[in-house]
Amino acid sequence: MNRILIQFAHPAFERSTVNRALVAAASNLNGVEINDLYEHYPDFAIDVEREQKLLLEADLIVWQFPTMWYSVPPLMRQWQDDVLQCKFAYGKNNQLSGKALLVSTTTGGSRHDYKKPALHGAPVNDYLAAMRQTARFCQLHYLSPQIVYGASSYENREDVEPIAEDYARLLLALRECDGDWERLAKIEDLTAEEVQSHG
Amino acid sequence: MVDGLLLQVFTFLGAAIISVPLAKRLGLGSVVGYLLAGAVIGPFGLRLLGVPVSDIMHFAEFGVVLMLFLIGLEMAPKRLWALRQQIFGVGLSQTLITAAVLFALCHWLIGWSATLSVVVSLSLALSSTAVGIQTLEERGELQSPAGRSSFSVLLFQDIAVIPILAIFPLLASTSSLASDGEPTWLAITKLAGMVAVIVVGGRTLLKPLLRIIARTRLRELFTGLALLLVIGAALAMQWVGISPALGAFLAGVVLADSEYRHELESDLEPFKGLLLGVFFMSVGASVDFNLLADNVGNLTLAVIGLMVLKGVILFALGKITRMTTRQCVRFAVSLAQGSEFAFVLLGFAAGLSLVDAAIRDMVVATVAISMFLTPLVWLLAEWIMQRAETSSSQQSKASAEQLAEEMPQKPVIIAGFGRFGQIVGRMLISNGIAVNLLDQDPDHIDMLNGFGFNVFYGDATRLDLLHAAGADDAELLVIAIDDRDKITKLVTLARRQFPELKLLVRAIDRRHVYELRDIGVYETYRETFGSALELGKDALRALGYRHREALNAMHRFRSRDLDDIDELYKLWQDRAAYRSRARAMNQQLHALIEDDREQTGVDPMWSEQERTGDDGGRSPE
Repeated sequence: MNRILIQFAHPAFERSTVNRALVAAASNLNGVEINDLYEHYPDFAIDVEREQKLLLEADLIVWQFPTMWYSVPPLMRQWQDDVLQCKFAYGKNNQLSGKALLVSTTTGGSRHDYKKPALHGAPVNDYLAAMRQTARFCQLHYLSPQIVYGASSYENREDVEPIAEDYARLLLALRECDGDWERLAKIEDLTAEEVQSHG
Repeated sequence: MVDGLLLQVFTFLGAAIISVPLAKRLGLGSVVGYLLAGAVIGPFGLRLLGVPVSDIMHFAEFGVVLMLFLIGLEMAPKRLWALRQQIFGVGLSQTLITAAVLFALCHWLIGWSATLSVVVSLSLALSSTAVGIQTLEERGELQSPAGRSSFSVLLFQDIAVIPILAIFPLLASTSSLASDGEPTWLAITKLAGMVAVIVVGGRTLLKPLLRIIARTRLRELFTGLALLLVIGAALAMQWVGISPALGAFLAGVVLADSEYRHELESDLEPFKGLLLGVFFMSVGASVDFNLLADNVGNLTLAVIGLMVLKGVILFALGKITRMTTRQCVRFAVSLAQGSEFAFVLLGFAAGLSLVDAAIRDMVVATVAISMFLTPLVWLLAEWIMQRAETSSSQQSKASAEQLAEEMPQKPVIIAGFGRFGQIVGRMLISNGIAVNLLDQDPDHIDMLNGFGFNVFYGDATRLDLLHAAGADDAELLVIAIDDRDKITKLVTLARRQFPELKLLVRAIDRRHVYELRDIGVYETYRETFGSALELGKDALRALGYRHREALNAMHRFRSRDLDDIDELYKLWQDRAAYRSRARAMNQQLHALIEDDREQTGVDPMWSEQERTGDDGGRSPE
C-alpha cells in the first residue's frame, strides 16, 4: 500500500465548494493524509521539520490547490521556498528522489475560458510547466495533473459529488498500485481505470 | 417556652427536607414532594401547623410574586414584544374557550345558576403559574416551544385576573347589592399611572441605585435591595388593585436589560424556591381529606374532567400553532391543572356570596388535586412518548428536527471584562458572536456600558451566576479575570460542573501555566506573552532588521519558548531541577535559534548570495 500525502492549500476554504468536496472525499481514505497548510500556518510560519518529516513518510505527494493567477496560492509558494531545501529535495542526497508528484488543481474559469486569448489564453497544463520542472528538478515522477475546470459554476454539493468520487477512486487506485511511478507517469489521462490496467 | 414562629419554620423546612428529596428520588419532581409534605403536616394530617392554612398560603403567595419577577428579568421588552401574538392569541383563546366549555358544563349539565357557573368556569379556566413553570423548568423545557407557549398563556391569565376580579362584583350586584367600587376610568388612570411610575422609575432611579449598592460590595445589602424592589412593585400594584405578581413581572421586565440582572437572579432564586415550596405545602395542607372521603366519586370525576378538558383544548391550540406532537403534549400537560388564582377568586366570590362554602371547598379541592397530579401526568406522558418513540424508528427524524427547533444560539461567556477580556470580547462581538460578559467591578461596568457593551455584574466564580449566565449550554467559556487564584478556582469549578464546556484561559505567568496544566487545562494564554513578542519584533526592527525577518525571528522565538514550556512542565514541582534546566535551556537558546534561522531564509539557489559548497544548486540530472 502506497502512502499518500495531500498538501492542500486554499486561502478561502470556507467559501469553496469543489475543493471542499474533494478534501471530504479524500479524508475518508485510509493511508491518505491531508495536510491543510492554511490551517496549520495561517501566519506563514512554516514548521520545516514537520513538513520534511511528512514528505519523507509519503510515497506519493499530491499538491491540491485552486489555481490563482496561473500559479499556486502564496502559502504553497512559501512552502516550496522553505521546505524544498538543498540536500533534502534536490542536490546531493536528495531524499525525495523516486517519489511521485500529482498536481490536483481547480480553476475558476471554464475550459473554454482557457482557450480565449483575451481571457486566459492557454490550457491550464501550460501554466503548470513550473510544477513539471519542479518535479523533474527534485527527481519526482510527475503524474498527469488532475484539473477541474469552472469550479465557480458548481453551486450544489450534489453537482460536485461525481467529481469527488472520481478523485477518491483515483487516490484509491494509486494507493493500491505497484508503485511503479515511472510507468504511471507516462499515462496521459490519469484515471482510476487507467491506473488499475497498468498496475 | 418554645417560639411558635421558629417552630413553624422548623416544621415546614423539616417536612420539605424529608419529602422533597424523596419525591425527586422517585422521579416525581419537587412539586409533588412539597404538596405531600403539606398534606402530612396540615390540619387533615398531623396538625403541626398551629395557624390557619389560608394565612400561610397568603404569605407564601409572595413566592409566586418572586417567580414572576424572575421571569420578568428573563424577558427583555424585545422578547416580550416578540411573544405578543402568543400571549394574546393563544392565551386569549385558551382562556375564553376553556371558560366557555366549562360554563356550558356547569350551567346545562350540572344545572347551576348562570352566575355561579360564570364564577366557577372563570376560576377553573386559569392554570397554575407555580406548578406549570416549576414543572417545565425542572425538566429544562422553559425555553422550548411548549415552554414559551405555556409561559405566554400564563402571562395572559395573570393579566386576565384583573378584569375577572372586576366582573365578580358586577355579578353580585345583579343578585344582591350594587358594588361600591370606584369608577372604571379612575381605576384605569391609576393603573396607567402606576405602570408609568414603575417603568420610568425603574429606568431612572433603580439602575443608579443598584449601582450604588453594588459598589458597597456588601452582598446582603444587594439582596435586601432586590427583595425591597420586588415587594415595592407588588405593593404598588396591589394599591391600584392589580395582581402583585403582575407588578413584579413588570419590574422584572424593566430590569431585564440591566447589567445587574444575573446578580438579582441568583440572589432571589433561593427565596423564590423556598417560598414557592411553602406555597405548595400550603396547597397540600388545604386538601380536606374528610371532604375527599365523602365525595370521592364527584371529585374524581371533576378532576379528570377538568384536566382532560383543559388538556384537549391546549393540545388543539398547540397543533394550530404548529407545534410538534411531543411539544403539544408537554404544553397540554403543563397547564392542565387549576390555578392558585382559583383560591383567590373563589375566596373573593364567596365574600360576595356568589358561591356557597360547599361548592367552594369542592372546587378548591379539585384544583389542589389537579395541581398535585400535574407532575405525575407529566411523567406518565413522557413515559408513553418514550415508548412510542422507541417503537417507531421514523420518529427519530422528527426528534432531530425538534432538537434544532429547540436549540437557541449557543453563546460565549467571557468571565472578566477588564483590560484582557475587553480585547477578546470586542473582537468576538465585532464578528457578530453572541457574548455573555461577567465582571464584578461596578465602576468598570459603568464605563463599559457607555461604550455600548452589555456586561453583567457578579463574581464569576459563583456557580449560581455561571448557571444564570448560561454556562449549561454555552459553546465556550473564556476566562479573562486578572486574579491568579480566581482563575484557577473558576477553572476547577467549570471543569467539575460543566465538563462539556470548552475553556480558554488567561494565565498570569509560566508557573500559572503549569498550575493550570496540573488541573488539565492546556489552552492557556500568558497575559503578557503576545504583546511582549510584538514589542520584541519591533525592537529588532528598530535595530535595523527588515520587517519580514523580525517577524520570522518572533515566530522562531515563540515556537522555541512553547517547546521549552512543554519540557519544563515535567520538572516544575522540583525547584532545583527546574532552575538548572531552565538556565541550561536559556544558554542553548541562542544556538537553537541560530539553527532555526539557517533552516529558513531564501535558498541560495534562488538568491544573489554566493553559493556555499558545491551541492547548492546542482541540477539533479
